[in-house]
Amino acid sequence: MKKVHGHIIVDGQVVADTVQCCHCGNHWIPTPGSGKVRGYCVKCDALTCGAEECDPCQPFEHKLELFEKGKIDKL
Amino acid sequence: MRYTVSAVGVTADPDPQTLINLFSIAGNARAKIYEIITSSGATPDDQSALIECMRTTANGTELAGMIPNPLDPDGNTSAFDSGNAHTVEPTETALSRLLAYSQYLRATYRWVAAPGSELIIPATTNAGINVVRRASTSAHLMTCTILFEE
Repeated sequence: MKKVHGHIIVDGQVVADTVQCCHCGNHWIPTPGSGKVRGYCVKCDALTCGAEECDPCQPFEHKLELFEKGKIDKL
Repeated sequence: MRYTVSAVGVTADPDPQTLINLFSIAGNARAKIYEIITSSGATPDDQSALIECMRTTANGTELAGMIPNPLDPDGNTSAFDSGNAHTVEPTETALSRLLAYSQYLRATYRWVAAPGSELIIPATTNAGINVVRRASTSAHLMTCTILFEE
């Protein structure tokens, strides 16, 4: 069963599901056939959004900790 | 602890227009946004708006501030504050779009996160997330509610 990370509900009905990137926390609505290339992290065993910054494995929780310590300036 | 904050009657002109910018006051707690509700109280019409959630690092100049309310009446004051109807938009982090959908004027849209998949605001002063109307087909009033937990 496909894992979903969010739902978009219109007037009480689920009209779309969202999936979250395990490296940046971004949500998107999967659109088969859109041509948008997404990624998959084998270490995290989860999808990534396809952005180049999310290709190397850096779990979002780790990024948050670094951001809060001031070691990186962008999540 | 869970909190809610709402903005009612945010105008469309000019876009982009922040509906709610939720930000950390002193950077001593993280927030997890688990629900966003957007709708319009304008005269029903066939119009649409592009809604996005972006990370912000500075608050801009807000016309109105809204203090988040705890869902539990005995709850503590939130470590977060919010604003809307900005005359100077909050500073958004480039390429930090966390969520995007197109809103049809006649309908109420809810985005609900699965447990563990919330939009997280780091514990950093002025770090935030804004729900912004990026573009719309007409100038119509919008209403937005964010529910989050600390």
